[in-house]
Amino acid sequence: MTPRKGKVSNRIRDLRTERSWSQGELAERVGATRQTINAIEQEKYAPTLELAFRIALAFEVGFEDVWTFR
Amino acid sequence: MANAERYAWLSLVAWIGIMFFLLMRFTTGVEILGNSLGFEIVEQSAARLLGIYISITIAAIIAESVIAGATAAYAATKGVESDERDAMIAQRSSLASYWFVAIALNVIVFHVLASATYGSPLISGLNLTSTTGVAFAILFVLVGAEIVNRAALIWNYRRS
Repeated sequence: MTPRKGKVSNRIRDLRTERSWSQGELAERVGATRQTINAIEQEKYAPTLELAFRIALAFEVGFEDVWTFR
Repeated sequence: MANAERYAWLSLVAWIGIMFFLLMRFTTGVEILGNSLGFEIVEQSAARLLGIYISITIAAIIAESVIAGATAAYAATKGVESDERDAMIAQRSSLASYWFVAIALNVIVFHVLASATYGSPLISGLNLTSTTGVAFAILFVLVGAEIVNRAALIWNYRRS
């Protein structure tokens, strides 16, 4: 069986805006650089599972509220 | 701009400078400040080759130390210095420089074997039967690999 092709999408920008957090603020909370948060938001970079979980935990929402695979 | 990207830009400039120094010391052609720049290798004494090698090594150590120190000091004031994306990009860039070295060494081996078999060199002007030729080829590959690594770092930061 061939794996389904798709792309990891996220709602980081929306969740961040709701909380009035800057990219730098989120980066500090999850232990990443601001450039990495920017690259993830633009969907140029797919983070590791660990960072993806840390981002969801920072927003205090479920994993699937941040990440989707389409 | 990420700290590692800032480092890559500065380091790229330094390594291009070292490559120019290498070409000026080993080759003929355009003359800059008493040194020649071209693609024809000039045979040199062992003592002079040793001097060039030591100069390049010292220049590389000083340049890398100053650049790495300055960029790290700047980054220390800006929060997190590097993360998983930086590690991933560094890994990809190392792979690019590995491929450069692998291809360059294969070209050199082919050049040596073709020269020995057919008498005419694959790369004209590169005589690998002399100490100068061997020293130049190895240093060129080493410096070239650093340039490829820094260029790949910059490209990967722009792309991902």
